Amino acid sequence: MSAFWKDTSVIFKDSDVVWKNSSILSDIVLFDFVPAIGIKESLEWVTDILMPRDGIGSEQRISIRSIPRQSFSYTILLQTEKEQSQFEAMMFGWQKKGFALPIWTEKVTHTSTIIAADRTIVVDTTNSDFRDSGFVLIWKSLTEYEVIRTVTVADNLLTLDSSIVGTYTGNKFIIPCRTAQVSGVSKRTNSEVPFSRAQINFVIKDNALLSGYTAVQEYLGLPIVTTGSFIGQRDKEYSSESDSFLQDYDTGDFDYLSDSEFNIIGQNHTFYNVTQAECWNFRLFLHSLVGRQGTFWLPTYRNDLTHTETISAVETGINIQNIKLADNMTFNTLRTHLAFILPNGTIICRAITNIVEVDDDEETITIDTALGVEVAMGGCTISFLDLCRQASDVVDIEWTEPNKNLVNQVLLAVKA
Amino acid sequence: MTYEASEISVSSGQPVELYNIAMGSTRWRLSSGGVDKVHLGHTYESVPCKCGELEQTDEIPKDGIELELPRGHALGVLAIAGTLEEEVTITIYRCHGTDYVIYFKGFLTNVRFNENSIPICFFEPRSSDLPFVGGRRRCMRLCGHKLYGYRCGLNKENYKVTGTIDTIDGVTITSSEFGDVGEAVPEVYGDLTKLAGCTYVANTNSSYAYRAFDGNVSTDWNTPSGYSLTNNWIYCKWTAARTIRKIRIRPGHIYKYVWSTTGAYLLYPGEGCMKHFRVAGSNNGTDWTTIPVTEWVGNCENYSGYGGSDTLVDKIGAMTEWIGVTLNNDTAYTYYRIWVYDYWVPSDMTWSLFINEIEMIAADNTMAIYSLGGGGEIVVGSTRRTITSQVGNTITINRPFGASVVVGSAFSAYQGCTHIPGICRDKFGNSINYGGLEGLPVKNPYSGNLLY
Repeated sequence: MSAFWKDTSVIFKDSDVVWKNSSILSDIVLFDFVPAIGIKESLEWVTDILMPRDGIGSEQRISIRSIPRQSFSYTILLQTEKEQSQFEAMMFGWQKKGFALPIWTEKVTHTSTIIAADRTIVVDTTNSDFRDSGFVLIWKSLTEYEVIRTVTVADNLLTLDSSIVGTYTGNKFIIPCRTAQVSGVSKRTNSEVPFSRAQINFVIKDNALLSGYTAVQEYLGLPIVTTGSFIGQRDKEYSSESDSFLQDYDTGDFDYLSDSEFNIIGQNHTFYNVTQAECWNFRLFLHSLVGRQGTFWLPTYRNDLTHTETISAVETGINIQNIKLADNMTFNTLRTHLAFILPNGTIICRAITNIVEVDDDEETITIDTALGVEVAMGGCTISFLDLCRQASDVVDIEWTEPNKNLVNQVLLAVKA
Repeated sequence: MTYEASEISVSSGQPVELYNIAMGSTRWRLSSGGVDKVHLGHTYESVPCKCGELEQTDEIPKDGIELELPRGHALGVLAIAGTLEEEVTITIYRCHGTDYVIYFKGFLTNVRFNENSIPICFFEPRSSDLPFVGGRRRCMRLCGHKLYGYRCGLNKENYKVTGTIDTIDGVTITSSEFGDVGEAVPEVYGDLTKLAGCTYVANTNSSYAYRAFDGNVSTDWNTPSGYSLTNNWIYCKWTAARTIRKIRIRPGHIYKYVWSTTGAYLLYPGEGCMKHFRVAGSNNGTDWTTIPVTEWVGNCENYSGYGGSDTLVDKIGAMTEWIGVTLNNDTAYTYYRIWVYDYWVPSDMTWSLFINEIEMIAADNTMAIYSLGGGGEIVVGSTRRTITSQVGNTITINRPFGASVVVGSAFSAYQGCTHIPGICRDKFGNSINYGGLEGLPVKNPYSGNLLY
């Protein structure tokens, strides 16, 4: 039982399922198996990217599918042969048809009593995808639950289109439901009798583009990712591709040729969201990007540059340790901005307007506007600030626990 | 942001295509986007559909587009059932947000199904059925106008017969209403001599007035040699009052009579014909009401200054061709008179005014369903079938109706047209709008053996 969603107040027991309010689901059935930890979710957009051969990294990004398709991969632990038979029976009858799929990753714990005949539920809806005229699952246990349709959704109130049938006391979940269909092959594996593990993938039918994302900070009208990505036990990869092609006819000399002045820079980041609010806000952020179309500013959160003297509030020329920027990078169009990250978390973004080598030890970077604050030696982190987009239209979300997820993304720097 | 601005923007383009498919009065409105969209007051439903790329080849006017529809879509089902009874057209709108442009317009030319039974429709632009870009009609003897189309100009409702089915057996249907309209007075009064009781009068040579109404352009009514060529008139008198809406005249030449030495006379066609005329109606042969003209067809035009009631005939063109006028007339008259009050002719010789033929076209129509050839159709509910033949009360249709059409089902039937001049003239009285070229040579004048 510990493999289920951790909430000790919720009782799971093996008995006949009571199906309430089934009449509202005339053509779909509730998927009433509780998934195990490790839910995998995907959001998928479609974007056409046109790249002119201008050599400076320009691109036109056209969103062909702006409303993402959401999908889930649920693992179901079936603890008795009866549950296995029940699961198989549901697949036999409904695998080609529609389900009302509880989105367990967005469940909200509810404690006050819900009384039969109530037409409203007081619940915080701000971090879950409850929708007007959508389905909601009231889940107390495997035997105590019901599905009901909403009329309207407010921040702390669900108004229902019919009366609740049962009475629910104590801890329970209020879970938004989506209409879904099973995709691909549904598998069930018996590891030991009678224990079985089922793997089932759902694609959501009633997708929607979520709005309402507000960036913590913006620069030049685009959001800044203000927290560094998570590493944990994962590797963080950076890649650089020369954007060249090989001319080689096997018999003679060969050459790598390129028409561009930059390399395609990729960064692999993992964002770790540890509260339901963070998860929801990151979801809104992803929706605001519309797949590969949208761009945002991402500091490297490294000490890319080390300033060699105090930076006054008014100066625009900053001396840094010589890392051969002037020789090697000059004004690469993909890396023309800096983020000055202060100890208090403030991020000051500036554009690079010039780079010159002072001597073998120092270079001077000129920024477009003074910082406005004095920064002592070692008093800030100077990171390159890249304008990025997602490398893929598919975003995989790995739910490690309820209300905690990891989002692994490969990001590409684009022309600012 | 405008459509153009979105199209060229770096990262604001979010195109969605809307497909407005029309078949008769049926509309299917589909959207390629993820949610339903409303455009011009209509809702376009988000469904699984995919439009191919609009290609550009050497023949841009013929570049079509493929559209994959949802499986089981009604258009696909109809295509399986048989030949579509009506033309299917498509208008594709493309939008960013709420800013729309028309992206493609065309008509359905083909429906096929892939291995998953997904209907794939191929639409070609309207320009693809033109023989060459910029042209609109193919030159041919048969009329190319769509029956009851806007170039044909006939009001379909005037040629409708309604009733109920008496018997139905596959493609054979009988109804007493089919026969009720079998032998009525023709709508086009070309050969009035076949109508008993009609009389014809002219101010001179009255005994030959009938020749202008006999349906034969080789016979004429004419004024005697040396008779005044001004203020001549000719009329017909019906046995019952009729509302005439169009009059068609074959004027013919002004002729000169020359007596030969043998006592016979010779006719020399001159470069002239009737010049001005006016149409009037009467119910007693005495009190005449001038009937205004609203449309002039052929080599004639409004004789300006006469309040739209007089016609000026072109000097050259009308000598060998029909001219026509549309009358603004809702009154049934027993008498209709053509008053020719002027003429084109040299003034120093002796001439005669000739009129080859006059046709009168009534507002009513009581023709039988004449379904030889395209266009005749029977409609039950919203289902249409083409009538391939009719014998009395029995018609044959191109393919059977479904099981819902039974004895007693109400129908509307519409007359067909063989697109030949005689049918257009005698059946519909629509020669003015005939779209074929009767005199088109059958032999190419630019081919054959050299003469020198």
